[in-house]
Amino acid sequence: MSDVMEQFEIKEIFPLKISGHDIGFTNSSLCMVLAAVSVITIFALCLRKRQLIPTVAQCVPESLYEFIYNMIADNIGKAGLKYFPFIFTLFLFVVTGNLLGLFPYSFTFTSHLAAVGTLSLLALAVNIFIGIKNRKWEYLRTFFPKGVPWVMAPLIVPIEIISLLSKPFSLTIRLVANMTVGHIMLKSIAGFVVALGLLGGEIPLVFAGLIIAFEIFIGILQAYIYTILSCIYLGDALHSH
Amino acid sequence: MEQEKKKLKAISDRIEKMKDKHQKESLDDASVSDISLAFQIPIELISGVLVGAGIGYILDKLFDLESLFLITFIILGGIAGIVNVARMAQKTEDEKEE
Repeated sequence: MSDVMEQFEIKEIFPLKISGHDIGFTNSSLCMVLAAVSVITIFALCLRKRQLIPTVAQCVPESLYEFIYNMIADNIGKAGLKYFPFIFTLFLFVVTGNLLGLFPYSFTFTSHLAAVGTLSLLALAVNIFIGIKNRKWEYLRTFFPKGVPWVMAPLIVPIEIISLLSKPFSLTIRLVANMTVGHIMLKSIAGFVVALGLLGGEIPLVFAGLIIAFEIFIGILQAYIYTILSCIYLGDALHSH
Repeated sequence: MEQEKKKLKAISDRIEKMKDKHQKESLDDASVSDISLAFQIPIELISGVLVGAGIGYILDKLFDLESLFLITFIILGGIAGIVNVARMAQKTEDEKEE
């Protein structure tokens, strides 16, 4: 039986080193590029003929658009619609990354802490930037809410800073853990099919098929949760608690 | 006249039925987000402690201390995790009341 962790290994396709830093093009980067390209291609193909009464193909991007639009309107309010492009990109990138990873021989970049962590840190940086831009000095109130006595400052300020920094962390852990566990489960059960052969190998085969269907659902659900939590955190940055 | 009234009544009944159905569906949506909240709580608690430990470790290295900041910030991180969970619970409660 092959190693279940082998699928998470990063392999270099074009090795490249600039002044000691390894910036080679890996299978992970290839999948990220594929995710971006496939989103652009699907949107371009579906929106080729734009009509007032949409065709089935045109409905796909339009319903996705409306889905995220409503999510932002519900969680941040009308003021949050300015940041629609960011949230929409985040959602599409994560959901295509999750789904692309399910294809045989492909690579799930959303199962790597480095990739998702960078995405979450980017979201945190955008949050802080938007918060400062909209609320100016008032943003510092995030770390010291109104109505708290000054004596509590040494305790409250570190707690609030940790709670702000733990947000991208919890986002990352949740997505990475879900994707990693799903793929390990898939690989080990697929390994049983080979190990058992024709004598009883059909049972894990059916099971693996069911898990793939379940993983498609989990991939979409986790992307949804990742996006909705980013929305909530953005809403926190815009309005005070 | 009578017939038209009957027709109108039938239409308004149908509209009411559709509205009821729609409301039921939106309730189902709420339960999905409740499940996601339940899964979020343990992750929130753990990540608070881990981030606190990270900050404490860096501060210890910075000031060349044994583990004073590490211990302090692990405790503070635990508190921050609980505060986060309490806030999330409060938010869902507020939304339900609305």
